[in-house]
Amino acid sequence: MPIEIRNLSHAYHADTSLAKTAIHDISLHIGDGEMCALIGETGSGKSTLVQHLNALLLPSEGELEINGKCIYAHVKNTGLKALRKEVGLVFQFPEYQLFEETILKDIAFGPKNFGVEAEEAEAIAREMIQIVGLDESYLEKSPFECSGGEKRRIAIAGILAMNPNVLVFDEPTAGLDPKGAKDMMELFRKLNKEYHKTVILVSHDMEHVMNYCDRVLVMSDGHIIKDCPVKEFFRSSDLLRKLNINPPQILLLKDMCAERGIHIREDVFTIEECVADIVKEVKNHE
Amino acid sequence: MNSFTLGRYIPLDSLMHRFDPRAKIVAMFLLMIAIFMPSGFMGYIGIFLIICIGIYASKLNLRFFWNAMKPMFFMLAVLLVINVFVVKSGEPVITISNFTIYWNALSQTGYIAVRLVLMIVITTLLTATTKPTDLTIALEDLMKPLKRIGFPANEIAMIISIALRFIPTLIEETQRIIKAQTSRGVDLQEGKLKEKVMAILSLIVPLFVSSYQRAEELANAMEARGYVPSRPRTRYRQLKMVGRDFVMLAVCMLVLLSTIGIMIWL
Repeated sequence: MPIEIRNLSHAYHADTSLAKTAIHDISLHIGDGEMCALIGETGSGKSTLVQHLNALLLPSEGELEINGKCIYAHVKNTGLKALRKEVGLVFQFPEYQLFEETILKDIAFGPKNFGVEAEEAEAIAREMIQIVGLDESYLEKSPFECSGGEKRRIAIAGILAMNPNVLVFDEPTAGLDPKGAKDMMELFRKLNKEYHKTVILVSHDMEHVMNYCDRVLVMSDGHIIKDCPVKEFFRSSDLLRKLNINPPQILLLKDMCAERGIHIREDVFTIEECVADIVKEVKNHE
Repeated sequence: MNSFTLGRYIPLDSLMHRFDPRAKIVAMFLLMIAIFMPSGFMGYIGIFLIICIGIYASKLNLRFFWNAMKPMFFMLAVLLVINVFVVKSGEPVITISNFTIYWNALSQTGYIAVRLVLMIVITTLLTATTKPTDLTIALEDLMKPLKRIGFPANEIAMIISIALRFIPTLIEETQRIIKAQTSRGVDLQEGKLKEKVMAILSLIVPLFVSSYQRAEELANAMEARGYVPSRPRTRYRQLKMVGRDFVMLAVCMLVLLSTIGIMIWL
């Protein structure tokens, strides 16, 4: 169930003097089971783009096709609710969307909206709370008793409960401590690898992008200016600097090694491999 | 875009904008009282003239005032219908089969319409030419005398300015939560009554939670910077009444006195 975007443009406040085009003529194909990172500066159009995947925003020009369902500009689109079931959109700070008395009810809220029977929805909730790494004892608690990180997991479980094939996360690790952020990223990897979800991740954290994603999309000023596999993207820090992105630590380390005449292979991305290369190089010198 | 005309500030550089906000508020009160004086046709001419001068001095578009008045027309229509059925005095104007419309029904509605129009123009003139922050500062100053009898002028002014400050934030927050819940399958437009109640609930609860949280954070931030509600505060921007403010107040006072004069005389 691939995502196909063709010549998509979106203007806010169209037909008024305040009209502002947020994304220009974007064409994009995202295949099944991909784990994509969408990066770019604030205001580059990332959020506008991902909100189209969920039909929260409709195209001003162009069209998109998700799982065979098409959305066009200039026509009244129907069946948007069905599309919303296909794409689970997790907003920034999703913990603010919790509202039910118990966590069980809150997770079951989404599936119930899409016509799942109450009992079945609760069964789904029991399953989802475990997927996000919490246990069943949470289900009867109020979501407002939980810590920030737990709330975020519950909110994500609420999205997963709708069983979407595509998951979009808008800066999911913002405000989490390093351990919480790492756990969150591991969860996304699990959803991608074990549950075969297509994952689109909006992130500012290059370490996460490098370590967890397969493909990188860079947006700037409403355009996609770079679209390539993650290995190619992080091959050298020059490209990143040109795009005004802070390179991850490992690239900085490789740069420092290069300055001192120690050569490390381009496709080395983990600290262990890097150390092995350094040791090998040093031995060669001796 | 035009639906928010009432109470919106329009940044322009005009005489009306430069008047002292306190003078503007007092002038508004004087004219309001004048409007409610039963001084008949003559009195309204004076008020109408002064308002026309005010509009001219504000450089605002006439269309802007028209938009501000639009929501009132429905109310006036309802009022006219009620008056036509209830008021049965004065000269009969027109008789349709068994039903007679009397002159007093029309004139009473007319009076109310004129008063409402004048009031809306005056308040629009005030809010469109005065920044919300200036308005609160002015209110605080005007409420100062009430402090003697224990009226918390500073606190009220602070509450008003905080409320004004957070309106855009709340609108933004609401839109964000609407989007988040929509992507969870909430349909705010359609659905049965029970679903609709649920949809509204899914909006209000998160909005309350985040508002309370924000209020607490704001209170802490204010206290951390030494804010004590009851203590007198100094201001960076000092208001100062100058000649033109007194002239404006004098003119408004004159209008009020003349309406009172007309009322007593006639």
